[in-house]
Amino acid sequence: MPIGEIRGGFKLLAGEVLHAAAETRALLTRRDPAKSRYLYNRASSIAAQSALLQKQALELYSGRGARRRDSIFLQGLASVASRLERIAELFLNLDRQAGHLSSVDFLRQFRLNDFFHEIIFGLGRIEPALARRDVSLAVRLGQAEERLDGSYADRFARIMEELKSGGSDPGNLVTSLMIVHYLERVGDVLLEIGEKIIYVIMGEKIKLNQYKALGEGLRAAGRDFEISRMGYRSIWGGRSGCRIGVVDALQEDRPCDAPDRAGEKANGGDGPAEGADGVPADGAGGCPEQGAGGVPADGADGGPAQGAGGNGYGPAGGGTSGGAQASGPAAAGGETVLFKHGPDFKLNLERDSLLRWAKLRPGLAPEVKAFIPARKGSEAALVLEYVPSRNLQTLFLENAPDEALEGLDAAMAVMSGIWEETALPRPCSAAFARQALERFGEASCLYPQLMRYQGALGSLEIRPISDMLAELSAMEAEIPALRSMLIHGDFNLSNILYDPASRRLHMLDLYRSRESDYVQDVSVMLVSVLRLPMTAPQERRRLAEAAGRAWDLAAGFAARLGDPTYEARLALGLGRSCLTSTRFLMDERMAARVVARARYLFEKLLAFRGRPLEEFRLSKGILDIQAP
Amino acid sequence: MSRNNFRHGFTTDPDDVARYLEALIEGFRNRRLDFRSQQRKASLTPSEIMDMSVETSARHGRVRVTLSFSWPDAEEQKPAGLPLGKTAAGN
Repeated sequence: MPIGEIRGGFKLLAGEVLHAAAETRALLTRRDPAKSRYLYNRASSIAAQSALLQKQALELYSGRGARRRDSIFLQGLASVASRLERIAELFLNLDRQAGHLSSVDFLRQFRLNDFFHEIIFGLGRIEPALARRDVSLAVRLGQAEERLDGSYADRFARIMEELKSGGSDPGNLVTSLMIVHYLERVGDVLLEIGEKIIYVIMGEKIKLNQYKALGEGLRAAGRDFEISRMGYRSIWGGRSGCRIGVVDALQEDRPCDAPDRAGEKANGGDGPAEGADGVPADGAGGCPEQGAGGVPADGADGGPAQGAGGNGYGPAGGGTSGGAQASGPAAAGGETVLFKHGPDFKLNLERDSLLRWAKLRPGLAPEVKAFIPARKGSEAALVLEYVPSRNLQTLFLENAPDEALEGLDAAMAVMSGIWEETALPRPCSAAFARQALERFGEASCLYPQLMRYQGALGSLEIRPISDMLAELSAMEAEIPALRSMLIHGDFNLSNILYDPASRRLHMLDLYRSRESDYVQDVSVMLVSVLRLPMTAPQERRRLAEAAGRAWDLAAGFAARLGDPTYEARLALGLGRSCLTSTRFLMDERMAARVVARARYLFEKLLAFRGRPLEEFRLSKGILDIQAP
Repeated sequence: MSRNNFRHGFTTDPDDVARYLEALIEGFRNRRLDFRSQQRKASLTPSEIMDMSVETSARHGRVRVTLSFSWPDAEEQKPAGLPLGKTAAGN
């Protein structure tokens, strides 16, 4: 079936739903059983049309040779069709509710036209937004939802007030509440549709408020916001709670089909990023033909694939060609930037840290281009310099051990310089045991039996780790670090970018940076090396060697500092990081070994109770974790 | 005896190994080896005559010492109960 036919079917469907909206409005003004039946029939017909469209779209976009752009369009169209069906169901619910009223005249006081005005306005913009790939129309759907929310809040307050004051008609009031509630839900579905349309246009899942923040952020950073000439690529899989995307430089002509980005790494480096919604990339180059009345020829996802994933996002998978960073900063309209959208406190912290680090070591952390604080109902946005380098985790996993080691050495050297420079004679504690306890539940999700293991071997009791942590917490209070220093706060391989050619180093994700015990950085880095999913014996040995070098550098720093309880705190820090790292380990037997390391470290520390912890010694052999 | 299998994995050091072995030694002396985890519990009774092997190997840069004890499983060797009037041959 040609795509044009599906578009035609969709236009009819959207028109049907628009008619259903008008009929529902009429039924809430004047009851008419014949019109109710008519609405029912229309809703059934909408359901059938929607199901057919979804089936046709599925067949077409999953078919061989489907272009990426068309696949995304068809997926989006199918999603929107199913949501239009839901709206029709909500209209039926409205009609049913109206049947419970003593008279629909009761509804007049709630001015339902305010709702229907927005709904009809929104419904009327869906098909043109998709056909013309007009983001501004999709954004209007979000505005309709906001206004519907406002109307609902107003009617809700009024109805509740009347109910509280013992109004004479509670039955009608409750039914009216249901009716305005259903109308508000139509708004929610319109918002979802708006976001689906943006997905179709940008080739990326992006929330409407995120889209608005993106525009605001880019403008604040002095960049034009032209969606038609802009490539935007979401970075999925990060665990920071922020949505992250790379905004490519504006280009005169966007390539029409970017290569697949499978294999792009997420910030935090711990999971493969998905391509846009798992849609297979279109291997074929060249712009698809323009269907009649349909999608313009520019690519759904515009920007070229990232050849060497910057800002820790790793390389593009398979075929990194596609002119990676082809146009770069020289392209028309600014440079490639990183866009983050998320909780205000996190992005505020990150912004402050980045500014602080910029003063301390100019160029080490990405430059802050713009920051948009959160406002009511929206989250904050941060626009950062995009660093086109690979992170150390990627270098290790891509079997570039020499470059990875070089980067790791450089990172340790830079960090120890920062620790030294910012050291203050203020005792502090990283509170590793407490950190581990606080995260124990989350860390136990994947392997509860391992984490909560307890038992006995003959007369030898094997204690649960959580019990040990409670005791260790008290013990830890006795061995504070004697100096506090500025730490990275999440000093793991995926947060260190390294370009072997220029030997330039960058550090990312600084929102946890603070004054604390440097052993936090040391232990997080060591375990981030050890938890890499590399299993061949020689690979494991190489990782142990790499971690050993970082160990030596950190031990040298501790010795120069004259840090008497370094090894005891390191044991706590390593144990804590081993526990929390199990969520990154997909091989249960490997996870068992890592948890066993934590148990060992904690048992050793507890066995030392009553003796001066300055004498506690830790064997470097702890780093040699062989795959089972 | 429970039919459950047990597997305990540890990160350990020579002092710790000695502690685990002592716990096993104590069990052999008492003719009873107890193992317990949250889900399982087993008591093994070593027989009077046992097989024991010590094996060492070095592969892929790892040295391994395997200590193994085995004995006939008394429970498995119990004759199966047969219905009255029947012989093992079934006639």
